[in-house]
Amino acid sequence: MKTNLSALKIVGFLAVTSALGGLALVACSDSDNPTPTDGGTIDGGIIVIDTGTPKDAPPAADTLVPDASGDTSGDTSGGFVNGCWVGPATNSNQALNACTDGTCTPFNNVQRLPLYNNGNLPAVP
Amino acid sequence: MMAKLGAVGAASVLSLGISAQAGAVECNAVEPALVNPIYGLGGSATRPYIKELATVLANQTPAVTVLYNDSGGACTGPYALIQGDKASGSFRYWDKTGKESTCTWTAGSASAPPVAFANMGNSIGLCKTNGQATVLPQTIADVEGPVVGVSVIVPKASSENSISTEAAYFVFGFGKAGQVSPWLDDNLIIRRNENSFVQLFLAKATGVPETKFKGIDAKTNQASIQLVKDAATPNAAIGFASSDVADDNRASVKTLAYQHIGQSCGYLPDSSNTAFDRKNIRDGHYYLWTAQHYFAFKGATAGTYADPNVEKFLGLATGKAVPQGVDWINLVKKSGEVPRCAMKVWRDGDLGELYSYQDPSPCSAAYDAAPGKVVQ
Repeated sequence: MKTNLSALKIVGFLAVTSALGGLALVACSDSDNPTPTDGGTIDGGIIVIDTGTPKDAPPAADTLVPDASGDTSGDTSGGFVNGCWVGPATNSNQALNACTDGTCTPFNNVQRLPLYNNGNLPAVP
Repeated sequence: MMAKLGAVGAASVLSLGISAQAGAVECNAVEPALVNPIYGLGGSATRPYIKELATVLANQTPAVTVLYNDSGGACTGPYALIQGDKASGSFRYWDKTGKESTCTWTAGSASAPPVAFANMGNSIGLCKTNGQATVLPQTIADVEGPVVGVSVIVPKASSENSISTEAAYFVFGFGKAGQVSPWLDDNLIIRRNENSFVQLFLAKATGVPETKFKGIDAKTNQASIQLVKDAATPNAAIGFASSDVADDNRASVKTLAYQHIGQSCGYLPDSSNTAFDRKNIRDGHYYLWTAQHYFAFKGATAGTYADPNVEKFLGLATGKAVPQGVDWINLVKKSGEVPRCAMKVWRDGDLGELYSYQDPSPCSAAYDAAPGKVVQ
């Protein structure tokens, strides 16, 4: 029997996690011009994520796509730029993925969860 | 084999319970010496804050003595108020210096006073009565306290530093069968029960039914710390507790960065594992937090309470009526909590949607400047 945690999912970002299959990057600084990177650095056991975005990370399904200049397609209230949210958050997806100069430590679901099955999790017994 | 190991775990929990009550005297005997005692019941998640409040009130003139029983889990607090229960069981109380003592009201004691207030992290709706959300009667007020976080914890010696929602789903929902290495020993997976705020929150965040958590029930946040830190195999041990309680024990346990669904990286409640700034709670990167709830019988007029001493307690707990000379923001920070005025995001209800927030009287600068917790 399978169940789906669809109520908890933000489809776009699961896609990001799955696609990367390794280090997934979301942190960025709204004061810097992000440069794409392939990973983070280790600082005292914590992986410090550089500013930037994964090369193959699509924007979240419910967000605006910035153009080459970083414009958020006419929405002046905010948008995803290089993988992180800039502007006031109106939902959890935006707040959880807001640009930050903070550090974070990824957990790789695909590599570490044998029962992950692309997010189609079995029901709790 | 599993049954035998389970018995060992249960014995450890039992011994923790016994040691917590060792030396307790009858409240009957000590009450004459206590000034304006008020009895509360609820969760152990916020015990550090309750202690700070109690210490401040013990220093007022006239003083109020706060006695608090957190041995039964969060939901037992409002249940007791709703049922009009008298004080029963072991109560902690604190003197002017913050020194803790305990006393016990024997169940059914005719002279026991009524429970006057309750406290917990979750809303009343997450406490289930016969499987249904509990509804608070109109006679009981539900007021908002500072923000408290929930931490997934491992021993300090563990090599693990992060966990995702999905991993927590498998660890706590399946135990060993979830196949999440290194958390493969059901006797080293430390849980709570369906009366516990921290378990109710992790259940809501992960989708694991609150009654189906695998592992050993530690009974309190503090016992969860104890069982996790004492694990013979540190890498295999995992549990959860309020961030307040976890931070009081950073020498022995560490909080894992939590990566919620929709995030591709996990965050600590703070900016680092040595900071106490609650940066990632305050800016919305850390998902597991809530404003705590206080419950008490309403007074005759709006915003008042039936018991004037409870009113003083709630005035301080909520920051709405703080005694002169008390640095409330530092009091909150010292406990590991965050006043609403220092939050940059907010949410409505248990783990509700996050949104940007600016308080009408912001206090982020004061919160950042406050000394807070002093690490020895």
